[in-house]
Amino acid sequence: MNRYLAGRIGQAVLVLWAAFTLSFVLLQALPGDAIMIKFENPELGLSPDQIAELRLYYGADQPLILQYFQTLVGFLSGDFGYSVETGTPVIERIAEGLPATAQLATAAFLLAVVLAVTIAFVSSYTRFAWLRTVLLGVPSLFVSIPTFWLGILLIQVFSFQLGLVPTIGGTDAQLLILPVITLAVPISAPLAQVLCRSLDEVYTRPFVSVAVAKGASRQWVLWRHVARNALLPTLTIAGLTIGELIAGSVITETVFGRNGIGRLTEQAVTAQDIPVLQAIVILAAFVFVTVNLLVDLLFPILDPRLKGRVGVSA
Amino acid sequence: MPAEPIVPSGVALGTDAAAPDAPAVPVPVLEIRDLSVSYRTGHVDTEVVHGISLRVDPGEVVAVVGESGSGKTTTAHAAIGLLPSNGHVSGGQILLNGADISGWSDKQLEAVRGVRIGLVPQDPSSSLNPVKTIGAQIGEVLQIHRRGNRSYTRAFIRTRVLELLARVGIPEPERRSAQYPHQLSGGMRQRVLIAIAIALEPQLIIADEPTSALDVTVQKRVLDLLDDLRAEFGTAILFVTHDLGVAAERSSRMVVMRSGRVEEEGGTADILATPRSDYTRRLLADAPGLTVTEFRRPADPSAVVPDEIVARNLVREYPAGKGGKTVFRAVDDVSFTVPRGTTHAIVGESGSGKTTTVRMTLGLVQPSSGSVEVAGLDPQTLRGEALRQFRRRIQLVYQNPFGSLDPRQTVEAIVQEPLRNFRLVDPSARATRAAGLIDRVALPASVLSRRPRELSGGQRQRVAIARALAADPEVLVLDEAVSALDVTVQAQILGLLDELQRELGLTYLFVSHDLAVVRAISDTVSVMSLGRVVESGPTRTLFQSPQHEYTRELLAAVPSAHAGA
Repeated sequence: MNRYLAGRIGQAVLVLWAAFTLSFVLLQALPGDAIMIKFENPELGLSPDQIAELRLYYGADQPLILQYFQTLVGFLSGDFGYSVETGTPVIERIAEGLPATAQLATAAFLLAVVLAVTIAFVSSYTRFAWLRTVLLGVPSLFVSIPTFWLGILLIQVFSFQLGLVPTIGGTDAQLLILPVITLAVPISAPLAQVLCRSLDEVYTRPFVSVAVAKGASRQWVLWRHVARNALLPTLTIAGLTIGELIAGSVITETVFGRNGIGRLTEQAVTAQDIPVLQAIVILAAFVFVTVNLLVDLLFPILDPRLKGRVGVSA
Repeated sequence: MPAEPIVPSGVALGTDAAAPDAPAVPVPVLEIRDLSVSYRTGHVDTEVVHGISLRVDPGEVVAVVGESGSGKTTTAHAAIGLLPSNGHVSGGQILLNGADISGWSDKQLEAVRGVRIGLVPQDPSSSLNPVKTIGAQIGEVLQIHRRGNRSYTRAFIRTRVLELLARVGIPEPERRSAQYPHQLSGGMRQRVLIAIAIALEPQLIIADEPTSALDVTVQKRVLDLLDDLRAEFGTAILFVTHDLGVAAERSSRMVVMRSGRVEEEGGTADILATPRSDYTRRLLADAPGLTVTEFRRPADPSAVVPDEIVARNLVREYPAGKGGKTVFRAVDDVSFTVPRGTTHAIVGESGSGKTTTVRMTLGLVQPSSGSVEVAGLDPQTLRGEALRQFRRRIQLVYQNPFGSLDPRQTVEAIVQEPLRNFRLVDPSARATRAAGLIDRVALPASVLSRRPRELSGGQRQRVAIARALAADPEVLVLDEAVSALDVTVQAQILGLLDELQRELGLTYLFVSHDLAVVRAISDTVSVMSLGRVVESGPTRTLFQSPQHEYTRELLAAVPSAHAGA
């Protein structure tokens, strides 16, 4: 088990390094340069010599490979550099946005799980065929709704027309409601689809018949036999939706004007603020890798067959 | 262990039908009258069981036999209300101790299931929940029926679980009850399922092909256990099986089903001695365990036949134990030779190493030591194109005709694939050749355009054989090639294989756990156990005077009709 753990952590570190390198190369390859954008503005009236000096100050004149290693060492020691746009440390800008995004993402993920589980379990448990058909159509609908459109629609209907939820000047919780729904809906779709399918699949397995033959009721069979077995494939998908969660928060925060990592990403892209972007990429990769590592470690606990897979393979 | 009452007093067990001085005509535990069952696909109802009747008296074993599609499993499942959601009873009655349960709600049935009827299912490997311990799954029966039984405390259930595990012959019940299904062998899992079925001492156990997935020696032990339990508790058993040998050996009465109707019913001994229906007669004739099949004609001893397959001291080791520090010998010093144009059978139970041996012969697994030669070529020494050409000469027919054919290909494409891969005939001649091969395995030309799922099991296996023949091989490896088929179909496929061998001079390596089949088709036999060949020789000698104890045990475990012989 310890060897397995060490191996998995090693893989995670490798993924992080690859993400860092790839994003570094891509960001450097981008045409344009944040320093140029900011300081070549004629209104500032800086001479080419002064700009060159600034470039020197930011280390932009050094060979790429050197910059790469300097940035890498900096990241490893927790120094993410300075934002070109504001001149403040990158870590400060991220720390400002992180709580809001963490709140949004966590709440949205929980809501997505609740939605998915409700859809899947009700459709599987109901005796009404029409309800099942309707519910099974919901995930396909959810997955095809664009996040920005849903956000705008929700604001239009619930804030402007019905006046139920404030978009400006409400409490933190009130301000969270619509963004959470916007972000949760598309994420719940793949979860619900996989969960529906695995529930159906588990119901056909012979051990379910055996449980029924023991005299178990429908609820008993669902909760004590089917649910846990159907959870396993869904968990894998849940880990993978973290990526969508991060991507979705960029749009959601922009639409709702929330100051979070998503908004910061949008601003940094516009300003070509490479140090900030680099840090955001690594942050996203870190969250993604960590969550999926946890999912992997959870599997052997949920499925005893994966515990101690050593033995004769003949 | 004394046969003390397992169920605490106060549990309703229905009528006390097993009392010694029961009336002359006891109330049947189960009586099915004119039962019809239909399945609904789309908006169309298809009746699959057409008005069948049968009865099971207290303490009796009634076997329902029939081939796949005969409706035997549907009937058994209807009796316990376990039809799939698209199936329903469309007519007739199911009487449990005289009460018709066919119209009962799920709630009513729940009170009966497990308490008065137990189920022993077909496939022990998938019939236990993989994420729950053995103990929890046995204890669950008591938990479910705890309502109204205050005495089913946690401690009581735990004690009962251990008692039951001991009763069904599982060693170290304490340790086993905390284990998960994947940590138990197939035979042990079936014992656990039997423990579940008998936990509340039901009057009736429905056993749906309980031993089809087990090795013969394990099958014998499991059937013996069911017999003991019946004797001990007076439980009646409705025994659903496709295996006439098992039915003949274990049942007192027999119901022969075909296409959803009862073909014949009566005392087992009577049916075996004087079957009334033609269908029963044919079934009996095809059942390899029941008829005294002729041994294969011995090969002409004067003819000098070269050896087609020569295996010398084959060994295959796999790393085992923590960190792979120890080695496990899956195959241990196996040698055999197969003269050209003859059939050599490798017999053994699961884990005996027969499959690994075959894979080494095919060149799919590298031996750890030893060598194998097929048609003078050692696959170990071949690389690239030579190895590919070697593979053409030795073709494989798998056990499962459902999994070994690509469901997206038509039969024609399946049979043409080897022709294309090995460029055996002109592209223009492929269709003709494929049609010829399909004809050769006695299938109508109309199957060429169909897909595997539109064919029956026997037809699929014929397609698999046609595909193997397409490569124009010298050797066919038949890995349990007839094990998944009904007896009648099995007999036909064996007949086809025999014919093909005589005509084309093929050499067969036949892997099987079924001694009756081996007896019918093979010239020579190797019996494998725990990776070693324990005995080998001509089939007749081996069957008539087995030398090794394991061979004798295997032969004794083959179910046969002692009553009817």
